[in-house]
Amino acid sequence: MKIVILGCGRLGSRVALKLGKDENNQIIVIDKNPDAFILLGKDFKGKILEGDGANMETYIKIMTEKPDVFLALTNSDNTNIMAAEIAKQKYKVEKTIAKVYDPIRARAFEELGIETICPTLLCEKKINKMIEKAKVKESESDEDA
Amino acid sequence: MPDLSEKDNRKFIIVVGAGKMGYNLTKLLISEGHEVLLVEKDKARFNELSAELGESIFLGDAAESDVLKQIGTNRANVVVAVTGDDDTNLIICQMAKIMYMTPRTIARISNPQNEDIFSTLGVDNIVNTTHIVNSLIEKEVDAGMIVPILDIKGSNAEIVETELSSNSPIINKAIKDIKLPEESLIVSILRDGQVVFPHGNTVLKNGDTIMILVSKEKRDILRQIL
Repeated sequence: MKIVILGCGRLGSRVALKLGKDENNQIIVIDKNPDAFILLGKDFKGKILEGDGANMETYIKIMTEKPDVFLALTNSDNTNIMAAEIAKQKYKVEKTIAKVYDPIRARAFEELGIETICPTLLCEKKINKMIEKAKVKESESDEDA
Repeated sequence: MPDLSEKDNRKFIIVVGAGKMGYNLTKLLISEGHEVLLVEKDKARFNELSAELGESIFLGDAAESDVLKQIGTNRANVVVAVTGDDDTNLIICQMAKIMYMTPRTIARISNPQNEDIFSTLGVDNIVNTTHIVNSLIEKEVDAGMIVPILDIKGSNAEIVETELSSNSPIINKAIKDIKLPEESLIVSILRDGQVVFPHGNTVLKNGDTIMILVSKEKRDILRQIL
């Protein structure tokens, strides 16, 4: 699969390295800050491209590659949404995912057909689960007593 | 000053981004009698303007759904996003549309290459600052300049503005006697700060600023006539 990852931060770089381990995947990582690519290390085999996700020029360059997957993982909700919309609606990329921190913004754009992943919601769920577990343990130890 | 005492004409307009453009636009709209709320996320800039603008300025990030709710986007007639970031302007306009069905959204874009995608993604109008500045620069070298001021969404028509100089061949002529290209129409005349509604018998004068609705193909022909 051809996979484009916009944003080479902590998440973007990890996803790129992980997906890059599969030899069938061709990875292209984009970031507007060339220093960001340091996070990929020396062994990263995919392509890197310096480009701004809020600028059409980036897409004109990258979309000639006809990617199967487009992941928008920068730190800006707005950039990610705009990027996903461009990839999906203008270039018809099959699988497009945008990282969106604001849960309401995430839901709003889900309704518009943009697949989103919301770290805030994921953390919230995880924390709730952890607290639930703690509660169960507490009540168990109460019973023991 | 135009009379906006009738309820229908008085609009609630949200302006996002208190840069020079947002600030001046806000003042202009207030002076025209509209209810305006300028939204700025930078505290320092907010403090700078809050003494002058009072309740017409709000501190917050309009791309945050909570802020959109607080500022009453649900009853806004128009949302104008003029921050320096193209993506922010796009998302704010879209959120206003998706969440509150705002009738009219206007986004400023700085990168001309983004113009195309913004219309595709549902922004009603686009103010392309680079385009306008470029036209203004052309003004220096080109006497018959026309400044595009508004793209009409989903069409190839636009509204352009031009000031008539004393050597323009169409001054002192009635509109009905001016041969304009097909697909063009004089929609408004600004004379000594007053709007004149154009009729066939209206005579154009030196110094008039006229706005013309024109298809993009005919813009060059129009330029030659003016």
